[in-house]
Amino acid sequence: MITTVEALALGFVNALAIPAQGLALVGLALVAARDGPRQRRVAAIFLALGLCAGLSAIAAGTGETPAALLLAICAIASGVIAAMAIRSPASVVYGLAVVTGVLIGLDSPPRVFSLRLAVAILVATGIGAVAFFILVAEVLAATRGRWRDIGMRIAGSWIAASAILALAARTLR
Amino acid sequence: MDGFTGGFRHPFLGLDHMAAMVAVGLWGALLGAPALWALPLIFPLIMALGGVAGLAGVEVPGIERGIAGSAVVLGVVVALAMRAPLWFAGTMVGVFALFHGFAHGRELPAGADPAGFFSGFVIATGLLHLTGVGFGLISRWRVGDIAVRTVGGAIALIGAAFLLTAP
Repeated sequence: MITTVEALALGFVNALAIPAQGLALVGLALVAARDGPRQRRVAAIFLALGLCAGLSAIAAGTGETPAALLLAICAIASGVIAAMAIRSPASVVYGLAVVTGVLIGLDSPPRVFSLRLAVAILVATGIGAVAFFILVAEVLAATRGRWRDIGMRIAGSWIAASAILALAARTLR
Repeated sequence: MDGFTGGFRHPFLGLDHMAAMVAVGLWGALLGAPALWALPLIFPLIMALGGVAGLAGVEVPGIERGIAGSAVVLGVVVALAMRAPLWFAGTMVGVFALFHGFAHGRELPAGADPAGFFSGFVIATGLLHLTGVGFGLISRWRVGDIAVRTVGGAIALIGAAFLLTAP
């Protein structure tokens, strides 16, 4: 039986521990890093709103969903945008953020029997995902230079490639 | 994390795979920008398409020969410090990426988390490219150029050895 603190910790690192979620979040951060600070803040808010919606749906008893599959599609989209160094319109970034948030929420059903622990995990999942996104996006936005741009493009291609293969593995096998 | 570590280890299980991945980076460094970053960017994406075909069960004869052949060709172009326009280098690397992706797509272990396995695998592949790029940058000095071209020759020999024994 885990403690509340352990449940909070588990939820906080959820997005890092589940590769499909990590890929989508890092991809989103790569896309948002090219925007200004105001747009990044708004993207974080949209991500948080999406997470609230998705996690609430899980708390309300939503069963299995194809969230992991759809997260792979989000990761492909953001990875390709990052690889091509496209500066996306704000609506695209915000849309990607809210969808990613909803899907991460739906992909994070807590596997505990206690309601208290389940709520702790869900809340910490939301906070952890937003914190991770902000950390990556702000660190990337703070760096400058040709090598940073190259690194972001290569990271985008890695994310897209990983997500393409993950999506294919889930649908073709 | 089992899927991720398994995927990360995967490219290191085949010397011909590893050699070809490093050679992509070496050649990119020799060609300079934009090939220096374009080749490591193109390869994973095209490799993923090859992987999709492998996962779909498409039968392609001579895959192992293709992989060994990629090490030979890439090793030779590095050894000769061959210059080529980006479209040619990208196309050649893309074709080889299909072979590599196809082979790896078939090798997803049963029960492994696909996102974890393939993100580990792609990251390891990318790190091999970057290793090649990093080493290849020493070619700006004469001694470094000799060293890089010698490594290219070694990669070609490794590929040839695998080609002789490939099914």
